[in-house]
Amino acid sequence: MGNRFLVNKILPMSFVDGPGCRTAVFLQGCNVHCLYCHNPETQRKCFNCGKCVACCRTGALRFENEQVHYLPDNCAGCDECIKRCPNYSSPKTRTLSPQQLFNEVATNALFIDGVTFSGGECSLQADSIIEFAKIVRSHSALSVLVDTNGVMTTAVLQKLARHADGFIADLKCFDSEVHQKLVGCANSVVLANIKLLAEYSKLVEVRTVIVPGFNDNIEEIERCAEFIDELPGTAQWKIIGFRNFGVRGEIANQHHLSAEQLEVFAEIARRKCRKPVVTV
Amino acid sequence: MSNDKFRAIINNPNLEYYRKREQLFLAAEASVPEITVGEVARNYIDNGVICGLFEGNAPYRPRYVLPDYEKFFRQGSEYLQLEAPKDIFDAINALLIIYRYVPSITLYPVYLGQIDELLEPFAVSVDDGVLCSLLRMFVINVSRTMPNSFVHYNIGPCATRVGRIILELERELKQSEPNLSMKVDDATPEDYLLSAVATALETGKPYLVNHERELQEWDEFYGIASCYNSLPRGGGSYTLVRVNLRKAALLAESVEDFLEIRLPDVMKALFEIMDKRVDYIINQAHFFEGSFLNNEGLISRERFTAMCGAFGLYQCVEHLSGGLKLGVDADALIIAEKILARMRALIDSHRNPNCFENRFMFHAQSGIGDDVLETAGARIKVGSEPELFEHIKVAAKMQHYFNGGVSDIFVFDRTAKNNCAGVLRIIRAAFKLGLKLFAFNSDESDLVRVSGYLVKRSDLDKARNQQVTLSDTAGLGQQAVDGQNLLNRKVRKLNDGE
Repeated sequence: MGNRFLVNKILPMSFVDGPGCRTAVFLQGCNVHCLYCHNPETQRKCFNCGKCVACCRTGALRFENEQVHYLPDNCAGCDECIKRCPNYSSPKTRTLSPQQLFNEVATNALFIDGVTFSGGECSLQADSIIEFAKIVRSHSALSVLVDTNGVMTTAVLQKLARHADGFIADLKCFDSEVHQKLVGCANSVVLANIKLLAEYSKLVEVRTVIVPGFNDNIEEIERCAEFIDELPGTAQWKIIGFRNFGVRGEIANQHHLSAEQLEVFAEIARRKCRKPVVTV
Repeated sequence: MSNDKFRAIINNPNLEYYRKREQLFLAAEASVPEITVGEVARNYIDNGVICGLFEGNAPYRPRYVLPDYEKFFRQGSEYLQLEAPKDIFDAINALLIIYRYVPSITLYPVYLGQIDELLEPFAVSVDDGVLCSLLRMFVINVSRTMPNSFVHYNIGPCATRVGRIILELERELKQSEPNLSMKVDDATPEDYLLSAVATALETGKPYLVNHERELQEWDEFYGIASCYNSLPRGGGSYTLVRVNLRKAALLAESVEDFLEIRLPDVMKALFEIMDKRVDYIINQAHFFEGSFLNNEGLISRERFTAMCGAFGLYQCVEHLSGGLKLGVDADALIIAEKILARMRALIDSHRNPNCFENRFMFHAQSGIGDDVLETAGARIKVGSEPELFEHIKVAAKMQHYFNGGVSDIFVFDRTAKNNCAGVLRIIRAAFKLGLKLFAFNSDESDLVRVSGYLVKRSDLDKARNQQVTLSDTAGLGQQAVDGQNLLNRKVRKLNDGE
């Protein structure tokens, strides 16, 4: 059996997942559990508990043969199933071969600069991405970007870097202890991987979400800034203010970071980092 | 009765002096007996299938006039006692003078010229600072003395210093007037286009015009005037009369009946009305004899055409098909194309010897405040638009039938401002698919695109409260926005990212 993607969602048009207009493909499954995750339903694979089926009012979900079945034509898009899922998953995922995904993306090839894989953590499906990138290369001028949390082995990273055109990598926090609290793991692998990607000239963008109470302090921003400044290449640093949309768990009710606060951090960042610093 | 009408205008406390004067002009014209048309045409007018767009009972000037400003610059004007301009100061002054003498359906000119080509030769002798100050003065002057969003100027497809400064000024000043179109072709530089995209996301203008497609309709000497009207320069359009396709469809029993019986009958009546209006302007009102623009060769009869407008296609298709939705159902698009192809063929087969190439043009009329049940031109109903790529594909299939101007409006989420290259990618794709005009803005812009024109949100509120506004179009805009649900145009939601 060949490679298969487990796809949570395809956004045909995105302006915030790399340069130009891109189709963003959100893959299902993640290897970390960020407190501020905006797409918690992408974190785990469905284990067919069936709890979502009862809450569907339009008959888009059925439970048969111990499995949840999704009927997209009946779906009203209320996302009640996602909110009820105890497993940070979604019953609405699709399984697609790299060729099938390409066929779908290719209908809009004229409108887009490329495809960005996101998630979840898309590097968990690296083999499918590589096969997809090969198809893209032989059939189109589209580029393939990988949006990653940076938590992967060097072997996977090197393999992906040979086939993807670029990477968008999260630097969620420079302080390893805070990173542990925020993400659930240490950050030494992340820092090493970002460095490697920059050395391979594959790093397009570094992203940091400023989360009140975690990394919203000057020292933290300055340390990130110094790290990014020293990276080879021209990757930009995108600093994103925390918003609680979709967030579950202990910081679900945390207030948003204001645009003014975000600009203050961006200014601090620009003092230490000569690379382009943008805010969202 | 008519005295009461005049008095109501005179005594209206919410109208400023110039607005009262304009309305008195219109009321006076309306008091003259209407041009006589046959019974069939009369019925279509009375039941609203054909709409004259308030051009008046006795048209004494063409609706849209696009003077040959280049020739004006070459020869000056005896009538205006102006020599050919020698420097940029002369040139801008000459334009601001002649604009006061360009007739139109409104009190203001609807075409200010291909401003970059006009001014660029004079711009070489001044530095950027002076040029910027002069252009700032120019656009502010136009905005305040011609406060009407149908006042329209053009730039592109070549990048110029003048064009670049105009885009920056528009971005900074955020004025609803004048309106701006930019012609675009494959050679238009990327950075120039990115500046245009950034400006449009702030202000809703410029509209981007597919220059290569327009050249299939016209010679190079064309302009975009008023509300997306594509017309020959040195001429214009005598009249624009429109067909309410929704109402026409109500009189048909089937798609075939509509295409073969009703539509030809309506179009025949439309041509009769338009032929008579054109004849009246030329032979009764003697427009050309009294026009210095004509006498000095700045306009000529051969460069005027007349426009057959269409609107309400969405509801027409919905009615004829028993509920199919344009933008959703593939069969709806097939019916829509059949209707447009039939209308275009009927228009092309009609001859009027007073018109440019002896023919009328087909225009997607982008709506007025009274249109509550009908969607503008051939657009998809506001709020029912499909996802953007699909929307563009559908629009591209319909826009090419219109050789006298057409438009679809796309609203982007504010985050598009951080990625103008992405927006440009979509525009280039749309043009490759044959889209002729791409109008767009962002959902947080203070300027609201009503149909083809722009009005400030703050002026809309004033118009609702019947306060006096400088903008001549604010009142029209307020009616249209409230009647047609225009603020609920589908926003192209973008992924917020993680």
